[in-house]
Amino acid sequence: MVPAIEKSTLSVKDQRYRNLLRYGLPTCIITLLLAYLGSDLMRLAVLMGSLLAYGVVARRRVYPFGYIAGADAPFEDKKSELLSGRLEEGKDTVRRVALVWVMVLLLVCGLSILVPLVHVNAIAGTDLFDNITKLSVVFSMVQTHIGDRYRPTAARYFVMVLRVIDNIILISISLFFSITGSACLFWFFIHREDIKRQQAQAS
Amino acid sequence: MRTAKMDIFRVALIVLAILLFSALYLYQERRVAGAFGFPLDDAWIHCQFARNLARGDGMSYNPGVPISGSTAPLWTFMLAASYLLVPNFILTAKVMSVALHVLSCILVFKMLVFILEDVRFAFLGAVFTAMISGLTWGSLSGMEVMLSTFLTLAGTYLHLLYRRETGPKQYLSTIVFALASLARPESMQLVFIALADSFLVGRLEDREKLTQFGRRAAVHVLLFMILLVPYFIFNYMTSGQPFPNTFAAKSAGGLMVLLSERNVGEFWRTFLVYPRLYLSATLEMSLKHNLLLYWLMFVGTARIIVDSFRKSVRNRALIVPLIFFVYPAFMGIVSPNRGVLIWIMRYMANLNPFYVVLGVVGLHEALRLVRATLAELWVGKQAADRIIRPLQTAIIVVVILSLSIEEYENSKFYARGVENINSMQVKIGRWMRENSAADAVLAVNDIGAITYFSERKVIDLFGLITPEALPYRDRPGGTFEFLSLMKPDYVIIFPNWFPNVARRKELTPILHVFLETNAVCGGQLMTVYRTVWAEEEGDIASRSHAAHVEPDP
Repeated sequence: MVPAIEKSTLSVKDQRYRNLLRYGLPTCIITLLLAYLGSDLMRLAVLMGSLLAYGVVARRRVYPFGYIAGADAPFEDKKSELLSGRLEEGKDTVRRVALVWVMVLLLVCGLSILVPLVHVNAIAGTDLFDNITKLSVVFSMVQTHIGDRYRPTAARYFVMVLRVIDNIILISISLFFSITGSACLFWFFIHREDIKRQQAQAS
Repeated sequence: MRTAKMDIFRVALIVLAILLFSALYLYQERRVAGAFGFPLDDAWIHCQFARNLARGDGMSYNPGVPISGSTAPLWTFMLAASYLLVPNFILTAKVMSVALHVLSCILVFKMLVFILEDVRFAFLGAVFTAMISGLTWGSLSGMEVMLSTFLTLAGTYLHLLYRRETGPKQYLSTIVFALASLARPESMQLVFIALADSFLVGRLEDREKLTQFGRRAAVHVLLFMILLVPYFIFNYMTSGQPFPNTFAAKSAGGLMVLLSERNVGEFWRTFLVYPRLYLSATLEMSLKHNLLLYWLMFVGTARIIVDSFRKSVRNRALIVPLIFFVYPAFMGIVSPNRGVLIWIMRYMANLNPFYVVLGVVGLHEALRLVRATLAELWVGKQAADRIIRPLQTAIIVVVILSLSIEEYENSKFYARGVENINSMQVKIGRWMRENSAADAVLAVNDIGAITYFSERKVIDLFGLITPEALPYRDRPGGTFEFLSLMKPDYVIIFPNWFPNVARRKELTPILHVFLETNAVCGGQLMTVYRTVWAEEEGDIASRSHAAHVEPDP
C-alpha cells in the first residue's frame, strides 16, 4: 500500500500515542513471541535488548516519530527542544515500567524453559538460512567435486556455518524487535507521564 | 499512478528469465527422457480431445462420441486451433503456455503498481513470478495451468481497475472470470469472491446502497451464467450433470455429496476437514517456494487488510488475499479431490502469482517499517537509508538465488515426469498401435497417451470419459463386473491399483512396462492384458503378440 503520510487532524498528543502504538504494539507482541518461541540464545537477546532499550531511552534526548506524525518541520524545530526538555523529566518514572517489562519477559522466557508443558522451541533448529537460500542444494552439487576424504569434513563445516548464520540472523532479529518494542513502550509511558503533568498544570 | 506500462527493457528481462528457465527444463527433459513430451499423462488427454476437434469429430474422446471429459475446454479449443496451424501439440502447447506465463508476469507487475504505486517493487514481483517453479513446470506441462493463471490474474486486475465503474467496463472482469471457469471449473467462485470484494469496498466507501449493489450483483451473476450456458448444456447432454464428467469422477465428497446423501459425517468433513486440508496444502506450496516470501506474504496480507479498512485509501486490494485464502478453502468445501494433494496443487497453480503479490507487498511494508523505525527511533533518516539499501539488495538476491535453485531442482522432477510418461504410457500407446487391430477396444486406467498414440477406442476404468464406469468403480469387484459387461479386447492397468482384476484368469498379460524410477505414474508397473473376450471374437492379429510378453520385473 502507499506509505501514507496523512495530514491528520488529530492533535499532536494523539499522534504521538497513535504512532507509538502503531510501531510499539506489533513489535512488543513480536518480542513476546520471540521470548516464548525462540531458542535460548534468542531469549537472551530479547532480555538484553530490553535492558539496552532502557539504557538508550534513559540517556538519549530524542523525540521519536516527529516526522511520521506528519507535523511540519518548522513546527518540530520550534517545539522539539521544549518538548524534549519536558520529556526528560518524565524519564524518571519509566524505571518502574522498565522493571515490570523485563520481569514480564523473564517470566515468558522462564515459563518456556522451566515448565515442560508449555516448552516450545518453534523457531530454533529450523535451518532458517538454508530454507531461505536453499544453499544445501548447491552444496550437494559442489560436494561431488570434493574428494571422498574431505567430504564429511566439508559437510560438517557447511552445517556449522549455516548454524552460525542462523544464530546471527535470529539474534539480530530478537535484538532489533526487543530494543524497538521496549523503547516504544518506555516512550509511550514517558509521553503519558508528560501529558498527565500538562493536564495537572492546566487544571 | 495506479496504472503503468511495463517498459520494453523490463519486458525483455522477463522474457529472458522465462526463456532461460524454460531452456533449463527442456535441456533436462532432453537429457533425462531423450525426447520432448509432457510430464503428466493428463496433458495427452487434452491433445486427444483437441485432435478430435481439429479433425471435425467434435468434443469427443473416442472419435464421434461427444463427452464432457475436459475440465479445461477453453485450453482444449486453443490446442485444437493451434493443431490446425502446426500439428505438433508438444510444440504449440509449450509455446502458448510460455507466452501466457510472460503475460501473467506483466499482469503481476500491473497489479503491484496498482497496490504499491512503486514500479521497482512491481517489477520485482514480475521477476519472482517468472521464477516460480510451479509456473515454469505448468508452462511446459501441456496443460491448462498458465491459461487458468493468466485469466485469473486478468479478471482480478480488471476488477481492481473497474469495480467502481457504472458503465459496461465493470462487466469485463466477469467476462474474463467466465473464461477462467472454462479453463478450470474451480474458478467459477472467482466471480463471487469479486462480488464479495465489491460489496465490502462499497460499504467502506459508502458508495452505493445495498439495493443498488444487489441489482448490480444480480446482473453480474446473470451475465456470468449466460456466458456459461453452452458449457452447462453440453455437460448435461453428455454426462447428465452441469459440470464436466471429470468433475464428478475426481470428486471425493464435499458439498455435492453432502447435499445428495445428507450425511452428517460428511457435513463436518465438508466444512471443517476439507477446507483446512486445502488451505494448509496451499500454504505448504507457498512455503516450499521460499520461506522468506512465505512469511512476508502474511505481512503483505495484514497490510492489505488493514489498508482496505482505512478511509483515506483508494487502491484497496482486499480481493488479493480473499482469493488466496478463500479459493482453496472453498475448493475443499465444494469438491474435494480424490487424488493426492500434491497433484491437486496444479489445479490451484493460479494462486501462485497472488502469493508473489502478497509477498512483495509484505517485503515493501517490512522494509518501510524497518526504515521508519531506524530513522525515527535510532539512527536518523540518512543512516536508515544507508542500512536499508544493502539490506533490500541482500534480501532480493537471496530470494532470486533461492528461486533459481528451486527451478533447478524442479527441472529434474519435470524431466523425470516426461521420462516416466514417455517410457510408459507413450510407449504402450505406440505398441498398441502397431500390435492391435484398428477396431480393438482398450480398457485403461490412464487414458491420455495410450489413446492418443494407439488411436484405438478406449473405455476409461476411472470414469473420466466413460461415465458408465462410475457406479462400478468404488464397489468391491465392480471394476471386473464392468469389464465383463463391456468386454474390451485389451485391459491396460497398474496392477497395484486393481490387484483383483490383475489376478483374473480371463486376462492374459502380454506386455509389462516397468519404470526404474517412478516420479509421476500411479505405479511402477503397467501391464497390458489380452482378454478372453478378444479371443472369443477371434482376433487373430493379437494372438501373434504372445512373443512380446516381457518377463515380470
